[in-house]
Amino acid sequence: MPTNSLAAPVADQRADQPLLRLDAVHKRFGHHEVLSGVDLSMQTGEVLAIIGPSGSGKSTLLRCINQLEPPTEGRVTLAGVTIEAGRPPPRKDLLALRRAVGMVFQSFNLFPHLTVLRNVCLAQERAMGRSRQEAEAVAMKLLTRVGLADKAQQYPSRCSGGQQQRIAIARALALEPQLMLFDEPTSALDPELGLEVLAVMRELAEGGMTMIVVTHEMHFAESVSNRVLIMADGKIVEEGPSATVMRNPQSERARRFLNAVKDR
Amino acid sequence: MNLVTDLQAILVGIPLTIVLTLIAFAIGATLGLPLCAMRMSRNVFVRFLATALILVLRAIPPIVWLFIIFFGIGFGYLQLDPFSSAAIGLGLITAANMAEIYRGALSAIHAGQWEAANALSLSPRHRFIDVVGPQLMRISLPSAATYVIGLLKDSAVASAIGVHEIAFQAYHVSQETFRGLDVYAAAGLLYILISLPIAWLARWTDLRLRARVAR
Repeated sequence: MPTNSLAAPVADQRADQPLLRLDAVHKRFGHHEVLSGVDLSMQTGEVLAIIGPSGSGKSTLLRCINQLEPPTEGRVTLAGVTIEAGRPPPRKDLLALRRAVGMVFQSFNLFPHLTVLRNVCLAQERAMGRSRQEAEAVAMKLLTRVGLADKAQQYPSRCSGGQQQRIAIARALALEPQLMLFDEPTSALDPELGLEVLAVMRELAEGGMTMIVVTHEMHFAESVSNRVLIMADGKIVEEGPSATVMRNPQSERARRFLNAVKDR
Repeated sequence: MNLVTDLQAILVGIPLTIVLTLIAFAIGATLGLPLCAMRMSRNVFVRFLATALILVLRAIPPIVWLFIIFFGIGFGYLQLDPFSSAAIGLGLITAANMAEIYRGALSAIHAGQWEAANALSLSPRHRFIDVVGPQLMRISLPSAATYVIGLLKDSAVASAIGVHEIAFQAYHVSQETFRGLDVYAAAGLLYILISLPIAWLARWTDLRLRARVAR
C-alpha cells in the first residue's frame, strides 16, 4: 500500500534520531559559568543517571533541557523541537518541548490549594485539552499505579513527603511525556520514604520510560540506569555504561568523586 | 427631638457607607493586580511608572484626593456626583495599597510553584488563573480584610464632599440637636458593628483555607 511504503522510511529515519540532543550547552549566571559546553545525546528507552559533587551543574543541566533555565549558548533538540540559545524561543516551540518532558522536583512542588486529584488533572485539561472526565480517569489510573488512589480527594498537605513525590510523578506522567526528568527526587525525603519513590521510578524504568535522574543514590544509579554520567565543574568528566563508570572510571576527577561517595 | 428619630437619621447613612466601601474595594482589588504586575515588571520604565503612581496615591491624604476629583476634575472636566467621586478616589487609593499587599503575598509563594506550572506547560494565563492567583488571594486575605476595615472608616471622608453616609448623617443630626457626644458615639458604634462581621468572615475564611494547606 502506498501509505505504508511512505510511512516506513519516515519511521526508520525517526528511529535513527536521538530523542534528546544537547549541543555545546553553556549556562552562565552573570560571570559564573555553571555549564561549560555540555554535549549529550539520548535514545528513546534509555535511563541516564547524572551524578557528581554539588555545584557541578547537574540540576542546571536538567533545567536547561526543559528551558526552566534558558541556556546561555548552545542548542537543545527534543522530540523534533529545536531551541537555540540566545533569543527567547517561539511560545509554540517552548510549549511543545515542555509537553514532551515531565519533571519531578526535589521539593515536589505540588499545588497546595488543589486536591491530589486536581493536581494530576489540571495540566491535562489546560495543556492537553482533555475533558474533566477523561483527565480524572487518567489521573485515577496513575494514582493507582503509584499506590495512592485513596488520597485522591485529600490536599497535598495531608500526605507524607514520599506520597507527595509519588503524586508529583503521577502528575508529570499524566501528560504522557516522552522523557522524564528527576531532579534529586529523594533528597528531601528520609531514607524510608525515599525508597517508596525509588520503587516507583524503578518500575517506570522497567516499563521502558526514557529517564534522566540526577541523584545521590549511588546504588540506584548503578542498578537502574543503563548509562551514568559524572559531572564536575560544569563539564561531563565521565560517561558510559553504568557498571563500567561506577566500577572502573577512567578520569581522575571521576575516581576521586566515586571514592568519596563509595560507601553510600 | 428624641433619641429614636436621631438614631434613625444616622442609620439612613449605613447603606451608602457599605456600598461605597464595597465599590471602592472592588475597584482597588481589581486595579491592584495590573498595578502590582507593573510594579514587578522587568521593564524599568513600566516599573518606575507603577512605583511613582503607588507613591503619589498613597502619599496624598484621601480627603485631598476626594477634593481633587470632586472639585477639580468633577467640576472642570467631567460631570461627577459626590458618590462617584468618592468611589473613584477611594478605589484608586485602594488599588495602590492592594498592589503592595499582592506584592508581599507573591513573595510568599514558593518559586517552585511557577516552575511546576511551567514544566507542566501551562500557558502564562493558566499559570495565573489556576496556580498563582488562588494562592495569591489566600495569602492576601488577612491583610486585605484589615485594609477593608480601614477603608470602611476612611469612607467617612466622603461626607466632606456631601455623600450622605454615616458620618454625614451624624454631622447633620448633631447640628440640629446640639448633642455632639451621643450622636457621634452612636455613629462610632455603627462603624464597629459593621467592622465586626467583616473581621469574623475574613478570619473564618482564612482559617478554613489555611487548614487545607498547613501541615
